[in-house]
Amino acid sequence: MMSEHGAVRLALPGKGGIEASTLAFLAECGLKVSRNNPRQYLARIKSMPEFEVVFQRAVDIPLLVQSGDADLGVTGFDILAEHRGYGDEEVDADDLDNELTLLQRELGFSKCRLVVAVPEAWIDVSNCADLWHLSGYYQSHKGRGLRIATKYPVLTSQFLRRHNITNCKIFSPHGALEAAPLTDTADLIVDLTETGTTLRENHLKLLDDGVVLESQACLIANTQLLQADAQTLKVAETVLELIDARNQARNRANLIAAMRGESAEAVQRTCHRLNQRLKTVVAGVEFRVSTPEFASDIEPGWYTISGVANVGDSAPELLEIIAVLRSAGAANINVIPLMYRFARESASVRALRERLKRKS
Amino acid sequence: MMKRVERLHGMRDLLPEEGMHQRWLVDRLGQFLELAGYARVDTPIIEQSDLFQASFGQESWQNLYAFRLHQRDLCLRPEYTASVCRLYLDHYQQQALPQRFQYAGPIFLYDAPGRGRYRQHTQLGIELFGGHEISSDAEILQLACDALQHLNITRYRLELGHVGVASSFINRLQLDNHAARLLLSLMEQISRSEEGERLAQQKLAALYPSPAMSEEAVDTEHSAAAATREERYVTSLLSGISISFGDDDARREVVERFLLKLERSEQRRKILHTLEFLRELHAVSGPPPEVFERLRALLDRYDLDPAPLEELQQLVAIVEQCGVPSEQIELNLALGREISYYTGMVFEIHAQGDDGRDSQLCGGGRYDRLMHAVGAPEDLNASGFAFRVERLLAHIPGNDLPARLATEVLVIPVSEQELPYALRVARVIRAHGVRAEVDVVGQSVSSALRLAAEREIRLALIAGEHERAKEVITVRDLVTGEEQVVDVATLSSQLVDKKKLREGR
Repeated sequence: MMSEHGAVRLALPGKGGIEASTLAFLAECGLKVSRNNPRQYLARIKSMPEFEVVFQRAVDIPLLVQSGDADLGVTGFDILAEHRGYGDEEVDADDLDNELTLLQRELGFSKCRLVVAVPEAWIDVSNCADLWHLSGYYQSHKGRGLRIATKYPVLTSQFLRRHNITNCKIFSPHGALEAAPLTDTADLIVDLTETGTTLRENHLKLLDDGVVLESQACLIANTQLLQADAQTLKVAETVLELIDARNQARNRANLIAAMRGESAEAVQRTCHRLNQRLKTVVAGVEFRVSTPEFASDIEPGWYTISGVANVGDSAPELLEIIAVLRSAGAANINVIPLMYRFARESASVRALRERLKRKS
Repeated sequence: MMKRVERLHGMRDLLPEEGMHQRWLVDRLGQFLELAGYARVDTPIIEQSDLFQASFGQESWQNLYAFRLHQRDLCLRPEYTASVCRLYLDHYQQQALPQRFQYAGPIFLYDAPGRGRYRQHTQLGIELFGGHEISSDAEILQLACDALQHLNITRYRLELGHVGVASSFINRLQLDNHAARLLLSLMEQISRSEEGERLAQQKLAALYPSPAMSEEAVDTEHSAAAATREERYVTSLLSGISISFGDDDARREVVERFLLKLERSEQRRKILHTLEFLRELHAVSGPPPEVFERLRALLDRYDLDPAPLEELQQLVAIVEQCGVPSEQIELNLALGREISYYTGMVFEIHAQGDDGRDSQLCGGGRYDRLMHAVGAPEDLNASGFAFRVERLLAHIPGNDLPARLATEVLVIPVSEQELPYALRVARVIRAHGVRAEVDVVGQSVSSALRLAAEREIRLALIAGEHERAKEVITVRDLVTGEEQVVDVATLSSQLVDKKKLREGR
């Protein structure tokens, strides 16, 4: 616990693809984890010495944080949802387990979906309503309900109940699920998928409305520890602030260009026309004159304009912006990827403060 | 950091006064039902969830307080009826019919909790197995009304219906079992409110989507829309051709299922038809006797068996005989109960609370197929009802409820040496039915007397060294200030006499 170690414990996934993505993401946020060798279970973050990092399996992290053995944790939202017994749906606030607080639902990596997958030979089943009809067919023709294999029995049974499918047997085998329908040990499965390829290879198909949960990595915290210890709260807010700013900066670039003009006002008018034209190319970019005064290192009559654009990984879109800038007379166009983008305040930090206020 | 463990949401603690009221009510109704031959039984609070699969509608199933333990699906009982059926099968199958049981205890429903909504309730009810239909229905209806009379609850509304009408309509349409069950379980929602009807309709529309064309077009063969629809099906068939279907049986099954799917729009029409019929049934509900004429006309128009109406007419006579005025009775053949096992007469008793809100005090009916569904070799005539104890209590006139039995005597040991003596005195007088506490604060006689006065305890018995030696006790009346020394042997009878005098008995 925090008080014993004098450090804030951050639990990170220590296995699988989510481990590498988490470390890469934290490094991007300026929270690089230094570990002497990858088999170590403990590590530090140099930029925030308050932290002690513990590596655990992602599936164990919700319980670890809930019990207070870690203050903060990164895990999959799917794992968290199964652990706490509900996904994104509105839950009566009083009914929540108070030990866990979801600080950030979407960290932006390890994205996957929990889906209902049925044998592709089921040409009569393409959505959940069909599945409801099939459960009636099974009851009347086979005298039993549907057998469903999943590692997410809680979320699955809730999803099925929402669709009125009540007579079914949900079970959780330890091995791979995809083969269960082929070997006739289950009728259908509810499993994670990123692209659906593995499911297709196993002659399974997705339902039109069969997404149980959209998942990605998330950040959680122990509510009581946040409330009880000012340092823990401060550290959590710092991390949230950095994550928010990093996520806001992601795929964005700062475009800086030189533009000739008679006066700052004239260049500002050019910018205005430029912005009008840009609107037809890409949303959310606006250029402004950033140096109205004469800048000594360039010729007189040149002004610097700049704007932030969501360039993502779409190079053609960027080139279209460049074309518009050039046609307006811009030169020396520098494109600098953003590292952080801090808003007036971090939405996540504010949400956290409000939640703690409500709970105290 | 020590964490406070909170009470579970939707659960509450029973404090002395309400607990006493509940026990009083349960005793009173229990004795009343015993007079009619209903033996008290109780069943485990935890059962296997499967038991309620048969009895609970698809709608209510999600409200099961269910959990998994050692790979078994368990739940806290959501009601008693299925449990009592199981009890009958376990212990009474070989015995002569009819069998009458009553029960009282907690039930659990995992509803979304809100203000004033709880997940644990107290139910008290009866089940009557193996009697003749009309006689049993008459008996339980009479008992339900008389029980309320017994509790001085007279202003209520009795809703009386019969599932037979809707189910024979559904049977005639040859809807599949799955759809029929769904419709019956939605009946409650449909008849309850317009909002409920809308939700039920939404649900049905999701399960039986409109085939992307207007209803009229369905009748026009070879319409353009019908052609696109067929095309869609064919496309999906074709896209399936590269699929391996497994053996012949598997292929046959999938084809059969696919053909059933094609009939779904026909099922949809039947379901919409049923909804329309239920709406009409609901529209003609009202108090007897006039309503019978209108209902008869409606059933006649749909060419349905009027037998359920005759049953209801007989039952109405029984209810009126219990002194329930006919304007408090409402016949509603669209009355569906949340629980899907009913097969014949159904009824609900509602009353308006002080806040004007409607609350259902009682619900019941006939459920001849449930016993078979929970494992009996065949169907067994059965009917029953259940009261919600908390709701009944809210409607009982306050003066009728028993007052809390306050402590009458405080025995005060003057010092620690007199404690054994004080305890003995308390024991002696308690044996005579006097409610006595011993002072355990042990500070001083005067502070104990103050405490007794604060708590409105009338008599203080002071046990000092002198009293102990002489086997006497000092009795002080805290109202009059009178004090006298009394022999312990005669103390009890004196106290009992005084008590009688005070209570004017």
